[in-house]
Amino acid sequence: MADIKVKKDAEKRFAWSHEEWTLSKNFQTADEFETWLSNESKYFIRCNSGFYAQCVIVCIESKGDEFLAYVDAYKGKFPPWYTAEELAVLDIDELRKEPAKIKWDEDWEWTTLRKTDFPLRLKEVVFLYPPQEPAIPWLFLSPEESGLDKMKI
Amino acid sequence: MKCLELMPLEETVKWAKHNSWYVADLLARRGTEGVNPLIPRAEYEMLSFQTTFLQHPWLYMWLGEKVGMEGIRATCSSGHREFGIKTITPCNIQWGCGIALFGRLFLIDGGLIGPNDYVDNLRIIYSFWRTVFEGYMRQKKPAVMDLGYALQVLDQDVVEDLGTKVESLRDPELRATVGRFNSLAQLMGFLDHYDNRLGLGDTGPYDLGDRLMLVRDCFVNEKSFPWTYVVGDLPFSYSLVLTYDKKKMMRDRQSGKLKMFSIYNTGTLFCDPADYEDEALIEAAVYMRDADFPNGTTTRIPLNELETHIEKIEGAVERMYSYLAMKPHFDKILEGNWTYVAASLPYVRAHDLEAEAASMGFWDMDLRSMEYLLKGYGKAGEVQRKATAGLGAPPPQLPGFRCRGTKFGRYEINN
Repeated sequence: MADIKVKKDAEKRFAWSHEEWTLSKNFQTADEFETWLSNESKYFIRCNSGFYAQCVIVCIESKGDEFLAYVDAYKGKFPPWYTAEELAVLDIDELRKEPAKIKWDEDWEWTTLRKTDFPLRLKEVVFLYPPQEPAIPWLFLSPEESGLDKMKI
Repeated sequence: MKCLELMPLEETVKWAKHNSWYVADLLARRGTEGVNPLIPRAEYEMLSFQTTFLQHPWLYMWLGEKVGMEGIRATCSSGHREFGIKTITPCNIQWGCGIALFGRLFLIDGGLIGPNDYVDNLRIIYSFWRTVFEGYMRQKKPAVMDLGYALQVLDQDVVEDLGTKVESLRDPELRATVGRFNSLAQLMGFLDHYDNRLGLGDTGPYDLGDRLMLVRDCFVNEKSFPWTYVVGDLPFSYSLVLTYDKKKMMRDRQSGKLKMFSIYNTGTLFCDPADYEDEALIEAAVYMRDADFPNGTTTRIPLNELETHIEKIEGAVERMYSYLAMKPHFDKILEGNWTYVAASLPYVRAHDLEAEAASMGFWDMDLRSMEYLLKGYGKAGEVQRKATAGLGAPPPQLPGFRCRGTKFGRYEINN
């Protein structure tokens, strides 16, 4: 979390975003950025069909240009078109521990940052959504996360 | 002056992305279910989604003028106190606007429009959607996944009262009767709504201390559809109040046996293991309602009187299947279209404006949607798979943003 400043509401670029960061961090490669984003992202949305999702808007400086771009990242498969065999072994509780991968597909309009933009300087990160707030945590979260694993029933 | 307050265009980005996740999540689940060969689902979805995307923005603006932002937020207040009505069911509350958004996906994925076409429609639809959801669930969230797949709409005192009126299902014969009724009422709700989920919906789980509770509404006879005469004398809706053994569920979740007991945004329960619901079910009550809100009253049906209703539903199911089998293919595309247009009925019924909305064109069809249907008809199935997997919903192109150019993917317009 070094050098990350969380903007106050009045400073936000988008009043409707959940949280916005300013920073100044250089990334040489797309892989380096992918690892950093996976580690720093706090708000993955867990979807029971088999993925955890995060989409951010980033402000970057690259090759003398500054612009905003979307970055869409997932744990698991998106779209969640799993085969029956894949579903049989998928453990959504365990999937959360995996690193998130950016969806770099050429025609994916929710990742408009490109690998060819690197090296770059990251200046802002905009988190669009608040974290999930489970109404019945023991039913939704893994027993380890909700504390159910230690509960005497 | 009362009006629908519109969000800035950039904010649609947030809603479009969020939308694509839970739609993909939901449709991956729906894909595990069967398809009714009697019903041209992909084609009628294409037409109806486009119809509502092009046609219904006026409705949302008009409602804004009639009832204002607070009135829109209060759309579902009846659903906090009553059930067996469409203002409680997520499918009807969400998909009125939700299918309009699908219309944009179909049009973009079909290469018929670009992401910056009809952006005013997009702003109007999302603004209305956001406002309705501010008054729907207890927690005022836009999607059930935001709350860990628990959809709590009814006020807790209503829930607790219902929890005192359930009957035990220890008797295997009674349990089997309730099981048959449950399956038939759901089937009839589906059929009455051309095999889509506007005909039924669960809310819950609600916490009752030692039990969890679901309320399952099945809209078996929507009186605004012409085939109400085929359905006959069924009530407008049947509802089941179902309670589950909470301790057993906690133990099973702890041991890993229960992986999921989730209500999705269509009000659909998905369990893993798939047959888990019956394992944990301990009590039930059944109700019927003669008309949708703001009319009608709810009557409890003692479980020992269910056989009469089972017979009536069986007869109606048989008549409805015959009706669908005899109906020409294209007529079914049109009729299916109207079931989805009707997904916006709760928005007007909530304010007793159904007749006025109809006189202003609620049931009219924007002919551009028919034109787009003809252009996209041949690829309806392919486009449906992509669009309903959340692969559409591209962001509009905005100043300052890197976007895909017109030569990439769905930004290309083919006509």
